[in-house]
Formats: sequence, C-alpha cells, structure tokens
Amino acid sequence: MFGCLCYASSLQVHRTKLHPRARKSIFLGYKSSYKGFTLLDMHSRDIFISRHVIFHEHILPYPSNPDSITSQWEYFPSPHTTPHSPSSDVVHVPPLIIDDPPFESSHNNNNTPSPILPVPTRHSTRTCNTPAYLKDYVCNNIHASLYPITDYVCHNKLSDQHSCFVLSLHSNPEPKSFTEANKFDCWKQAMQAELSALESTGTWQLVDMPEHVKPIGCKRIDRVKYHADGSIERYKARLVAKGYNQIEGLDFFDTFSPMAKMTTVRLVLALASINHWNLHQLDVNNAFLHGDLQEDVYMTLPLGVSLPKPIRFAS
Amino acid sequence: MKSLYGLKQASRKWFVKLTSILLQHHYIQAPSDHSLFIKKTASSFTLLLVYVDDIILAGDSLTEFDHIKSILHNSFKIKNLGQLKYFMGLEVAHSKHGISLWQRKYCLDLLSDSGSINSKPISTPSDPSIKLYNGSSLPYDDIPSYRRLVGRLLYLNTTRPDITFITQQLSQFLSKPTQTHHQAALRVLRYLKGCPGKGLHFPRSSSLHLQGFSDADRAGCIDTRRSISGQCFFLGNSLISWRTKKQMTVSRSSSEAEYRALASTACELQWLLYLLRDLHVKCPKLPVLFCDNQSALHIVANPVFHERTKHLDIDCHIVREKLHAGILKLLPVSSQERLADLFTKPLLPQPFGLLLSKLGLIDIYQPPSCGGLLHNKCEEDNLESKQDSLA
Repeated sequence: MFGCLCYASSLQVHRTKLHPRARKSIFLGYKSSYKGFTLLDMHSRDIFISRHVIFHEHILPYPSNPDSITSQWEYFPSPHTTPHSPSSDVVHVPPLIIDDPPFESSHNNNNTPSPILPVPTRHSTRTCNTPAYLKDYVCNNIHASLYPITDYVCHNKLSDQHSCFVLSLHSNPEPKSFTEANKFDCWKQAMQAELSALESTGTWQLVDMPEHVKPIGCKRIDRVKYHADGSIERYKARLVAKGYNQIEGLDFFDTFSPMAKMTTVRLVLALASINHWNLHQLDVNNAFLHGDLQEDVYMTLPLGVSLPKPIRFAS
Repeated sequence: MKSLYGLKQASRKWFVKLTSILLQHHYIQAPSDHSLFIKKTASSFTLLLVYVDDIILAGDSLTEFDHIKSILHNSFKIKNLGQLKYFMGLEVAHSKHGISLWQRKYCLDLLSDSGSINSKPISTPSDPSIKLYNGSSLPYDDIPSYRRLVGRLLYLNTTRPDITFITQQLSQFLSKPTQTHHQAALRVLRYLKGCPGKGLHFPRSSSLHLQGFSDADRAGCIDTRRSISGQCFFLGNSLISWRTKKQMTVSRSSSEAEYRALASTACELQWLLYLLRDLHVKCPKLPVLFCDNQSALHIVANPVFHERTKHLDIDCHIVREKLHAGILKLLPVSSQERLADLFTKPLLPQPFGLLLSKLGLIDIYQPPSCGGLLHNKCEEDNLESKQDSLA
C-alpha cells in the first residue's frame, strides 16, 4: 500500500554487529525491470530498491508524526489529516519501533541530535504473555515481584477451620464515611439498630441547647463482625462522640483506666500452656455504654436523625 | 445517664463498673496488675484479664467459667467467643505442644500499608555497621509517616523480641528523622518480610523456673553518651518479658552501666515475682539473673570498688538488697549464652540467628523448605526445636 511503513533489510556484507539490521522506509511502488520494491528511506531521504522488505500496511508513518518531520517534508502531500493531537500519536507509534531496539537507538543518534524535539519516555504497551509451556505452573516471578509474599507465608500447618478463620481476618469491606455507608441497606439497618439501642438505654436526653455551650460532634464507625469460623456475623455501626473537643474540668475529670500489660498477657498464656488451663475469650457488647456518667456533656445530633436539637448526656 | 463511645472518660467509667461487679462476686483485683482479677477456691482457680472490652478467661474449671459468664451476661450482655484465638491483634494457636502467639496479620498489614510487601527480605533487622544518631544525613520530609511506622513497629514488639532493639533506636529520632533513619526503618520492614509469621511459643512441657538476662551497651547513644540496657525473662522455656531502654543517666564505666541495667532487671524480676504470687504460682527454684559483667557482679556481692561506685544512686543498690533478701540469685553467663545481647546491640546475621534460636520463637507459617520435598524432615526439626528451644 502506498505510503505504508516497511523495514528493508540491510545487506549483510556491509554491516557490522552494531549497525542497524533494517532501514525504516516508506513504500513508494514498483519499478519495471526490477524484482524489488521502490522505497523511501525515512531518515536519509534516499530512494532505493530492496527485495527484503517487511511491510506494516496498517501503519502510515507520514501523517502520524507530522510534528517531527513537517519541516523536512513540506512538499509531501498529506494523504490523511487525523483529528488526533500530534503528541498522542507520537505515543501510539513506539510500540512498533520497540520490536527492533538497535534500530531505534541508531535512529535517535543519527536524526535527532537537536534537543528541541522532546523524546517522550517510552513505555512498552505490548501485552505481556506468559510462555505457553509455563501455563501448568504457578509463576509469580513473571508478572509481579521477585519476592512474592507466598514465599514467606504458608498456611499448610494450620487446620482447615483455623486457616479459614485466619484468612477471613483479611477481608473487610467496611465503609469509611456516612455517605458511603448510607448507600447500603445493611449499614443503614445497623445504624438504626444502634440508635434505637442508645435511645432505649437512656443514653441521652434531647434538650434545647444552652447559650454558652458548644456541643461536641459525633461520627459513625462501621465494622463487620465475624463468627469464630470466619463467616460474617453481622454488620455493626457504632456512634462515637468526638471526645477530642471535650475540656478537662468541665465535662471530664479523670480518664486513667488500667489495661492489661503485655507481659501479663504473655505470662498468663505461658502459665495456661504449662498448667493446661482452659483459655476462653469474652467480648462485652457495647462495653462503654454501660459506664455511668456523672458529668454533663452536650453533643450534636448524629447524621440521619432529624431532630434539630443537641443531645445532653447526664444531669 | 450512660457513657458513650468516644468520650474521654468512657473507658474509665466502664472499667469502674466492671470492677465493681467482679469484686461483688468474690474476684480479687491483683495489686501487681490492676486489670487482672483472680478467684481461687478449694476446687478451682479462675483468672480474668481485662483489656478494655476484651476479656481473657483462664482457669482449670469450666463450671466456674460458665458461672462468671452468666454473671457478666446478666449485667452487660456478653458474647462468648469460645477458645482464645484472636485478641487485640494477637493471633493465638493451641496445639498439643503448646500455645503460640503471633501478629502475622498485623505484620502483613504493616508491610502492605508501607509499600514493602514486594521488597527483598534480609536476614537481620539492623545493620551493625551503621550507628544511628541525630542529624546523620538530610532530613526526611515525611515525618508523620515515619512516626506512624515506628508506632506500628512498637506494637509489633508484643510478639517480636527480634526487632525490639532497632525499634528503640528508631524511636529516638521521632522529632527529627533523617534519610538514614528512614532507610533503617525500611530495613526492618525488609527483615519482617522474610518472616511475618514469626512469634512466641509457650511449650506445655516447660518448667516454672524464672530466669532473667541482663546486658548493657555503655555509651550506646552517641548523642547523649548514655548507655542502653537490655533485659529478657524466661518462665521455664517461654519468653515472657523483654525490654530495651536507654538509661536515665550517663555511666562512667561499663561496670556501672551493667550495674544500672542489672538494677532495672531486678525491679522487673520483682514485679514478675509479685505477679506470680498473685497468680498463686510457686517457683520451684530461686529465680536467677544472668549478667555477663564480672565487676558488676562483684559490686552486687560486696561493697567493693568504692572509687568507681561512690556516685551511684542509692536506688541502684536494689540488686544488692534483693540478693541479700534471698529472692534472687546472680550468675555469670558465658559469651555464647548472652541472650540480652539481642536487646542492646545490632548483631551480624550469624550471632543474631544463633541468639534468636535460643529465644524459642517459632514461625508456623514458614513454607516448607525445598518446596515441601523435605516436609517430613522439617516437621521433625520443628518438633525438636520446640522441645529444646532453650537449654
């Protein structure tokens, strides 16, 4: 096809190891009494005849990068004017050139010595296919890391049930904000349950806001709770107050609360192992909601509750 | 009116409520750890360990378990999670050889959050040729991420004594981290990548003998010339406590640094003894402290070296007092057995591996070597290492 890209093999006699194997050319036509194709070398602008040519008929190099060669090829009539911007086309061309790296490098050395033309960083867009003979094997090294995590973690020694539980620890599709959570019914129901639980235990009273008081805010935290075997138990929404706005001496006094020291935990586990004790784990539902509050704390209404009044906790 | 999550006083109010209920039902709050509640009757022994709203229940009587569970359920609505498996990010596994404890998920999350999940593993967490100090290179820009990383490493210390020393080093530079410090932190992540499932193992066949190891690195901190003390404690073969800490004052001699380290080790030992007493555990033998510095041992044994020790604080002589009271025994330790070295200095791969193997850590997630071809052999090795992890 006239004007298509082709590569004419250079003669073996004259080339050394580092010379290009082919000349990037454009097909012009046939010449009578010759057995070859008439080609136009894109770089040296020679017209020559060659018999060893590989054609890429779907590529018309001329209109694709007018920016770089327009000045030299003004007289050449442009067969197509593409609506693409030149820069995007420049990006489209390289995949073909990449097939022949030595050629490309020589092209850069010979024809673009001027620093005016920016050479875009080339990234191969070629799709990377695994060799067919490897399809029966697990090959982490081809696409990802040289050191995949599977080399360092293995669940072979765990029982089926326990490894199921362990793996379930990793999947947590938990929303991060109110708007995100409000899209799902399960989270909406969870929040409704939490709000009604708070109302039924008498956690707060709705009051008019006193003038001098600046209420603290609140937000919601969403968590998925799991059974011991790894299946999802329920969706849990939790309303939390933004306690960082509280003022010491006004709405809170002492905050210290002892926690188990890690050494104690380890010592208890070691003793349990030696003495063959039973070890059980309990989880208190809504633990913090059981504490009795003596101070007055004012809080704004949570999102999703429509009464426009602040909430007061204790009196 | 009730408390709500997020309020500053919420955890305190909750703990007060829980304590009052447990005390009503004849549980005794241990003075050595206020979150530990113990009930001992003629037939049963039960203990309750409270970590905010997570509770560990341990003991020999299942009927007492049911009893306390029903009491708690009537007061609060509790959820019985059955056998202890996952507690504050610690994964617990039970086998007939013992109980194992590790933070594999926490470690993997840390690796993937810091973008090191594909890094190349390395055999030691710290480089012995690099000494960290203030202003060692260009400042590191992303200070919050450095602090976050060190904070997460600190929690990983719950089951990883192997990174305790380097975590202590990294946390000295939280205010002004440099590129060098960041590089060192990344090296820890590369080390963790190699063994994310490593953790503690508490063998069932262990004795109840308490042993402590103490060591100091004199002037280990370049900026302040203070020494670093390290200590670790074993109950039988189970590693239960360890620590790396920069000392509060400058030491003039290595024996003084060792002596100060020994003093803080003795304090920890005393606390562990109180804890064991509260747990009604009787040690069969006198607890032993191992120290690798002869002159520190001499200072403890007799008031010698007046010239070198006249400026020592009175509270440093706690070791001598405890020794004379007959609650501990001091022994020298050979250079091969200096387990506390792990907590005071960066080590080369070979001694690091040797000392680490004596701590009795296991990695149950370690893939079988040679693609499982040597599976049976590995299994045997593992069993052996479990049995004689510490001679």
